[in-house]
Amino acid sequence: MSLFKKRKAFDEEEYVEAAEDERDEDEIDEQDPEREEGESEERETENVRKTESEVDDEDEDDEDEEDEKPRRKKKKKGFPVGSLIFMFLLVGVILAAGYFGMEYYEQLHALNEQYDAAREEASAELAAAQAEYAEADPDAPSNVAVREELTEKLLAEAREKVEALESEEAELDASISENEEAMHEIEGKEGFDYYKAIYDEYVEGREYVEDLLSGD
Amino acid sequence: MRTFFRVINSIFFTVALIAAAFCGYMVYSVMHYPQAEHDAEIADIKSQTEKTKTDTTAALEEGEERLAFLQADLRNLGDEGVELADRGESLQTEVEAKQLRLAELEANVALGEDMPGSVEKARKAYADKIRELEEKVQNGETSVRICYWTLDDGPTYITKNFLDALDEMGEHVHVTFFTANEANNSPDEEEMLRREMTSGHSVQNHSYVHSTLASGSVYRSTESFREQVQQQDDWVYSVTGFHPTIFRFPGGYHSWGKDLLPGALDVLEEMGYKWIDWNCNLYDAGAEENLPTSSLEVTRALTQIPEEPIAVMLGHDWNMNTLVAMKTAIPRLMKQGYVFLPLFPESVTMGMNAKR
Repeated sequence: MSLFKKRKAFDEEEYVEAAEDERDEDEIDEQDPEREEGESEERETENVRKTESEVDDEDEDDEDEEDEKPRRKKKKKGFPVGSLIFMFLLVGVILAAGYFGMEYYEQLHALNEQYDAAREEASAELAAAQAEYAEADPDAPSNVAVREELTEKLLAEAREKVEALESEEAELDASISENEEAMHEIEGKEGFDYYKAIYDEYVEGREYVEDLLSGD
Repeated sequence: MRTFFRVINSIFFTVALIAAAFCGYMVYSVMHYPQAEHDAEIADIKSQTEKTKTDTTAALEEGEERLAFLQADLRNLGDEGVELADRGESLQTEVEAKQLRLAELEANVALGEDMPGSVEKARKAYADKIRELEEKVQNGETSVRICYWTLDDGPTYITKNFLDALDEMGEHVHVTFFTANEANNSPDEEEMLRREMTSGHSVQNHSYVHSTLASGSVYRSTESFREQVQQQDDWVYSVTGFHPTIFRFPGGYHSWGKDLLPGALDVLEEMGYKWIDWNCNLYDAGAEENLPTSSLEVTRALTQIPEEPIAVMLGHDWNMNTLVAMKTAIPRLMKQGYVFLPLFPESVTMGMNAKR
C-alpha cells in the first residue's frame, strides 16, 4: 500500500476503501506494467522535493480530487453497527458506574450521617454536663450568693439567740434577787436546817434511784 | 450518521469516564472511610463529658462541705461569728448556772413556807422511784438487787455507832430503824432519832414498850395494841416532826401477832399504817448466851440475802456484834450489786410475812 493511502486511512473503512482502490490499480498495473513504473518514479521524485505539509496539502487535494472524481467511487457503507454497539457499551458503563457510584455514595452519606448524629449527641451531652458543672461550681456567683445568704441568716439567728439569753439572764437575776430576799427571812426560821437536811437527802436519794433505773 | 455516532460516542465516553471516576471515588471514600478517627473523636468528647460529670460531682460535694462548714460553727462565719459564739457560750453558761441557783432558791423558799409539806413531797417522789425500781427487780429487768437492812428496838446506847458506820459506807447506804421508845433508853435517843432522819434513813414504829405477852401489854387487847402504836407514833412525831407509817410487830406478826391478836391488822389499817416482817434474819436477838458472833452474822447475811432479789434483813441496833457484822456484810453485798435503801410504805414488801 502506498504511503499516501496509509496516511489518509485513519479508520478501517477508509483503509479498506484505500486497499480496494489500490487493488484496483494493481489490477490495472498488472495489465499495464509500464504505467505503474512511470507513476512510481514520478511519485518518488516528487516526494524528495516536497515537504510534508505540501504532501498533506496534496493529500487533501487528492482527497478532494477523489471526492470530485467520479471515477473513484466511494463504497457505500451500511448502518454503523459498531458505533452503535460501542455507544450502548458506553451507556452500560455509565449506568453501571452511576448505579454503583450512587450506592456507595448513599453508603458514605449514611456513614457521615451516623457519625454526625453520634457527634451531635455526644456534644449535646458534653454541653449539658458543662452546664451542670457551671451550676455546681462552688465559686459560681449563684453559689457564692447562697453561702453569703446562709452566713447572714446564721449570724442573724446568733444575734437573736444572744439577745434572748441576755434577756433571760436579766429575768433570772431579778428572780434570784427576789428569792434571795425571801431566803433571808426563811433561813432564820426554827427547824429550817433540820428540814432542809432531810429534804436534801430525799432529793439526792431520788436522783440516785433514777440513775439506777436508767442503768447508769 | 457516522459523525453523529462519533459525536455521541465521544460525549458518552466522556460521561462514562466521569461516571467511572465518580464511582471509583465513592468506592475509595467508603473503603477508606476514617471510622477510627471519627470513633476517636466521639470517644474524646465522651471522655470529656465523663470528666466534666466527675468534676461536677466533686464540685457539688465541695459546695455541700462549704455549706456544712458554715453551719458547723458560728466561728466559721468570720469575726462577728467568733464574737457571737463566745458571747453566746458565756451567756449560756451564766444562764444555766443562774437557773440552777434559782431552782435551788425557789425550792428552799417553798420548803421554808411549808417545811413538813415540802419534805413529804420529796419523800413521796423518792418512794415512788424506789417502787419503780422494785418492780423492775421483780420482773428481772435490771441487775440491781435491793436490800432493806432493818434495825429494831432503838434508839440505843450504840445507835450512834451504827449511824457513824453507815455514814462511812457511802452517801447512798440507808437502813430502816423500827423504833421502840421503852425497849432501850439512852440519853441521846431524841438526838439520834433526828439524826436518823437527817441522814436519810427511815424511822418507823415498833410499838412503845416492845413487850410480848409475858411481860407486857402490846398484844393484850386491840385497845392496848392501838395505844402502843399510837404512843410510839406520838413520840416519834414530837421528836422528828414526822409520823411513822410502817409498823413491825414485836416478835413478828407471823410469830406473835397473827395468833395473839387477830384484829391487829384491822387496827393498823384504821390508823393508816402498813406493816412488815422480814425474809432474812441475823438471829441477833434473844438470850445473851445464844447470841451469834459477828462472824456468824456475816455468814448468815451473806448466805441469806443473795437468795432474795428484794431482801428484808432483821437486825437490832443494841447488838454490838451486829454492828461489826454490818460493817463487813454491807460492803461485800454492795459489790454483788445490792443497794441499801430506806423502807417506805409505798414498797412492794409491805405485808411480808417472816420467812425465817
